[in-house]
Amino acid sequence: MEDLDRRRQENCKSCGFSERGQVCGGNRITDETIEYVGILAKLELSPEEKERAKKDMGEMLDYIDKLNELDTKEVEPMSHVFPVNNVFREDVVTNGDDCENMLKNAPEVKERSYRVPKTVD
Amino acid sequence: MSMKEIRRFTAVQLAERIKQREISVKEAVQAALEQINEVETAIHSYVTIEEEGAMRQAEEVQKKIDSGELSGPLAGVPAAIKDNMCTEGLLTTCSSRILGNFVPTYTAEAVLNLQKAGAVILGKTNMDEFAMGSTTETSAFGITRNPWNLSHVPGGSSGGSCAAVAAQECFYALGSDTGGSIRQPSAFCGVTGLKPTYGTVSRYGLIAYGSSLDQIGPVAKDVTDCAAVLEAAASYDKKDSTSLKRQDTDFTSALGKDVKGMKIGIPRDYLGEGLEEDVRSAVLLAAKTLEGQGAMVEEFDLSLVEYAIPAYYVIACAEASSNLARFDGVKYGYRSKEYEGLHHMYKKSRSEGFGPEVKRRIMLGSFVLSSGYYDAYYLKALRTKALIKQAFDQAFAEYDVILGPAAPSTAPEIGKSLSDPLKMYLGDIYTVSVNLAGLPGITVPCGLDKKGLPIGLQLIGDCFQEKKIIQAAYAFEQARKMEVSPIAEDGASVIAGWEKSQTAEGGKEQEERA
Amino acid sequence: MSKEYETVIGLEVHVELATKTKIFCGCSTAFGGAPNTHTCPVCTGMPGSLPVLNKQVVEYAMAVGLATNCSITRYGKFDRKNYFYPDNPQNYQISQLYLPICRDGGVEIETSAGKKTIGIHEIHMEEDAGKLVHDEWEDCSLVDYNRSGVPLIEIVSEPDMRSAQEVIDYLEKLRMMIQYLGASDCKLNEGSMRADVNLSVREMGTEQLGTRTEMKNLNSFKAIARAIENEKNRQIDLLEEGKKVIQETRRWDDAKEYSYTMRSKEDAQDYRYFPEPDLVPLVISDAWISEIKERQPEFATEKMARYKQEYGLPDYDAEIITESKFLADFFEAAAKLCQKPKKVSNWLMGETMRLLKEREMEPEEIRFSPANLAKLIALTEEGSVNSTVAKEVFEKIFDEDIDPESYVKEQGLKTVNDEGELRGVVKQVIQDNPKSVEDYRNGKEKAIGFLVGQTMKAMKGKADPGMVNQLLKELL
Repeated sequence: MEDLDRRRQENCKSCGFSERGQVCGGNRITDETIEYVGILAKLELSPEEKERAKKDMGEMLDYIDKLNELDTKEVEPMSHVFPVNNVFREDVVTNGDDCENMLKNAPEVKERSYRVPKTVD
Repeated sequence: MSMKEIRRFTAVQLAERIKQREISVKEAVQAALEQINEVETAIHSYVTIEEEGAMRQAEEVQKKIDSGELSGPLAGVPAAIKDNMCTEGLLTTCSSRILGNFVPTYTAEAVLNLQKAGAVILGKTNMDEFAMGSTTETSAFGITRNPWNLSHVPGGSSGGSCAAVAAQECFYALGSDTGGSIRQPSAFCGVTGLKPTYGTVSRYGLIAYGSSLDQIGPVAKDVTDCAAVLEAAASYDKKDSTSLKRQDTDFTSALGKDVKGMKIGIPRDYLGEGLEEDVRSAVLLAAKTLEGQGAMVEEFDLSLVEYAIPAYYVIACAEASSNLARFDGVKYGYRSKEYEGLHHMYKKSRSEGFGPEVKRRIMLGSFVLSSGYYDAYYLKALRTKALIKQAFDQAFAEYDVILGPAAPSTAPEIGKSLSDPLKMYLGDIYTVSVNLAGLPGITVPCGLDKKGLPIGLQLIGDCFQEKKIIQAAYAFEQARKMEVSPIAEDGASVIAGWEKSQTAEGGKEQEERA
Repeated sequence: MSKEYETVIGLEVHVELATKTKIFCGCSTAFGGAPNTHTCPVCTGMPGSLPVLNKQVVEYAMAVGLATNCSITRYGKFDRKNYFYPDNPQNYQISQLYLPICRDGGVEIETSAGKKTIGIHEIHMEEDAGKLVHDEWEDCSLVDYNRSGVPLIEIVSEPDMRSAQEVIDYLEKLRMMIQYLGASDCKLNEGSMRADVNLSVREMGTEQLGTRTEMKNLNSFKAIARAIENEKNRQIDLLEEGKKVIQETRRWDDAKEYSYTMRSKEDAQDYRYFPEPDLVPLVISDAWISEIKERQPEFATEKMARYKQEYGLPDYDAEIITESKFLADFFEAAAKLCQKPKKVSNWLMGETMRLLKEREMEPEEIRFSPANLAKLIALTEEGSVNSTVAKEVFEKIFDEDIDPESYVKEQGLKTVNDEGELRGVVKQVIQDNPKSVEDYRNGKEKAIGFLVGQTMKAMKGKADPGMVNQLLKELL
C-alpha cells in the first residue's frame, strides 16, 4: 500500500490526486508507473515508446479527470446495460475430442500439448 | 448485363435478379472480383480476398437457389466480413501482426447466419488493429483509402468494410461498432451503416475489443439492404450470454412507413463547438427534410454529452486490456523468435505483435484497473455510464428518434490523425454514448461537403427501436438521390488521375526540398 | 525468549465440483484423458469464444452454502481476475470478488475445549486452471487444458483456527458435508480438494493480527499439519530475531519439509478485478433457495440417529460409519442386500477398518462391492463358512472384489458339517495330544482351546468350530 500511495502522489504533485472534484490537469506519469503497468500488461516499451506513453497516458488521464466534475455519489455503477439475468447451460457434455483443431494454431506443440518456456513453480 | 450494371444493384435488388435467373451467383461474384482487381491496389479494403473460395461458394449457393432451398432476400449476394470475425479455415487477423497467421477452426455466429441466408463471402476487410482507431490507419497490413478521395481515410475502425461497399468491391459487409466503428466510417464513405441494440447480434466469434460495448452490424448501400442484412444476422445465440431473445427482428417490416407524427429531437450539444459548418448545415437540412415529411423536429438538451468520451475510453480500454491478454504467443498467433524465459516471451511477443495504438489502450486500461485506481477511474466511468443511460431514457420519453451528425467532420486526410490521439478520440463524441447506453444507431448519407466528401446523418433510437430509426432513415433516403463514389463508376481513370496528382505533388515536394 | 505466541489460521479451500461438464463450456470434466482432448475454443481461450454458465455449478455452490449456514447472495456477478500464466488460457480467471454467491456462514467442530464454530467469510465460484508438465529433457513446459474450466468453489474461512488439529477437524467436517451433498469427491491427493493456509502469529493476549503468509501446495492432512508447524516456527523465529514477517505466498515442499516464497519481479499481485462483461448477473430467488434446501440430503448427524434407532447400531459404530458418506452409502447398500445391518456394521468396523489402516487407505478408496460383502455375510449366516475362513475370504474381497460364493466353492473352503468325518479327526487329535487331554481332565478348561485349534488345523480351518467343541466335550 505504501508503494501505491507513493505512486498516487507522484502522479500529481500539484494536488496529490484528482479526487477533489476539480479538474486536476497534472497527471504526471512517472517512469516507475510505466514500468509497473508494463509488468501488468506484459509489454516491453523502448525508451522512446516509454516517453511517448508517459505523455499520452498523462494527457488521457487529465482528460478523464473531467468525470470528477460529476457528482456520482448516489449512482450505482452500471456494468451491464440491460437487466438480463440468469443465463445458463444445462450440465450436459456437448463437446468431443477436438484436440487437433485446438492445437492447429499453436506456435509450438509437443506431445499434444502447447509448448512454452519452462515455468517455475 | 455488364459487370458494371450488376455492381450498381443493391444487395436486395441483386438477390431478386438472381432469383429471377437474370444473373447467376457466379456472375455476381465475378462482378465484385472484377472491381476488386481494378481498384483494390488503390483502396485496399481487404486483408484477405477469397477468390477461389468465393467461386466455390457461388456454385453451392446457386445449387441451393435452384433447388428452392434458398429463397431469402440476400440469397447469392457476395459480401465482405470485417477481419475481427472468425471464419473457419479463413485467415482472421484483426489487422494485427499478433494474429497474422491465425486461421480459426470455427465461424462467428453472425457470419454463419449470413451464410444460411445465402451469402457468398468474398474476403475479410481491413480495419484499425483490434478495432482501435477511427481511421483504419492503425492496421498492421497497410491503410485503406477513401473511395471518394484517395488522399483521405475511410474512417474506422470498420474502414475496410465501408470502403469496400462504397467502392462496389462487395454488395454489403459486416462491421463492428464499439464506439462508432460502423457509423463513423459509413458516414465518411457515404454508405449506410447500422449499429443494433446491444445483444441483438451474437458476439460469438467476434474477437472482443470492449465486450460490454461491441456489436456487429451491417454496412450497405441503402437502408433497405441494412434492414435485410440485420434481419439475417440477428439471432438469439445460446453461446453468447449477453444475446437477447427478441421477437421483433423483422426489421424490413419498418421499410416504407412514413414519418408523419414521429417526434425527432436534436441535441443542442450535437451542434455545438467543433462541428464543421458543412456537416452542420447538411444535418440541419436533413432534419428539415424529415420535418417536411411530417415529422415533428425540435432541439433539446441532452445532458452529459461531454462526459461520454472519457467514460467510454476508461471502460473500453479496461476491457480491452483484459480481452487482449490472451494474445501471448502460447496458443495461437505470433510468438517472438528470441526470448529468455516465459515472461520475456510474453513481453516480446506482445510488444512486437501489437501496434502503438493497441499498446496505448492496453496500458491505459491496465492502469485504470490497477490497485488504487479502480474506484477513481473504472467505477467512476461505470457510474457515469449509468447517468448517460438515464439521460437517454429521459430523452426517449419525449422523442422517438434522436438526430445528429455521425462525426464532427468529414474524412480527414491520411496521416493527419494519429499524432494526436486525444484529438482523434474527440471525434467520437456523437457515437460513443450510444454504445455506452446499448442503443441502436444508423448512419445514412446526407450530402457532400465542399471537398466532395460524404457527410453522414446519424439517427439514434431507444433500445429495441431499430425499426423507428430504419423507418426514419428510409423516409429520408427516399427524398434524396443516391450518390455513388467516383471510383465505383470509373475505377481505372480515377486511380490514374490520382496517381498523376500524387507524382506531381511528390515532384513539387522534391523541388521544394531541393 | 519466553514470549508466548498464538497461531491464527484461516483457510482458503478449493473444491472441484462433481459436474459432468466444465463451468463455462460443454467439455467433459472426466479425469485422465490424453492432453487437450477435453478442450474447446472456450476453455482454451480462443479469440471470439464466450463463456456460458453451467447451472449445476450454481446449485452445488448454493447447496454447500446452505449446508454451511451461509446467506445466499441474491444478486451476484462474476469478475475477471487478471494475471499472466500459461495454465490460464485467457490470462484472466473468471471468479467472483465483489458479489460472491455465499457469505457469512460457519461450521461447528469439536475441540478438546468443546464445540467451536469456524466462521466462513464467503464461498465463490471460479474456473480451474490447466495443467503444466515440466519437460526436463528439453527444459520447457507443456500445457494441457483438460482441467482448464473445471468448476471450483473456493470456501474462505475467517481466521478462526488456532492449531493444526482445528484445521484438520474443520477440513474433515467440510469434506464430509460436501461429500454428503454429492458436490465433490473431495480427494486431497488428487487435488479435487485443495487447502491454502493463511497463517500469522501474535503474542498471546494481543488483539491485533500479525502479518500473514499464504501457503500453497498442501496435498494431504499430514502435509497441512507439517506446514503449519513449520510456518508457525518460521514466523516466531523471525519475530524473536526482531525481523518482520513479509506478506507473501509461499509454496510448501512436503518432501523437503520446508516452504519458499513464490514472489517474483514479474508477479505484481495486482489482479485488476472488474465485472465479467461476457456473463450476466445471477439473481437467486427464494423459490430457488427452497428448492435447493428441499433437495439437501440426509447429513451425518441425521443418518447417525437413524442408524442407531432403525438398525440398533452402537453410538460409536454409527458415528464412524456416517463420518464418510461413502462408507454410509456402502453400509446401506450392503445392509439392504443381506438384511443384516449389524453384521455389515461389524465387518466395516472390524476387518474393513483394520485393512484400510494396514494399507493406508481412505474409506473412499474402497473398491469392493456391497454385494460381495452381503454374500459373504449370507455364507457365514448359513454356516457355510466359519469365521476364520470368512476373514480370509474377506481379505480377498477387499483386495480383489472376488465373488465369495464361487471363491469358496473353487477353493473348497466350505465348512465341514459331516459329524462322522469330524468325529474321526477329533478322535485322532485326542489320541495325538495326551498331555492336553490330561490337563483338561484335571480341570484345566482352557486346554480344550488347544485341542479345538489342533482339530481346525487338521481340517485346514474348514470345520464348524461349534461342532468341534461339542464333539471334543463329548469324547473326552
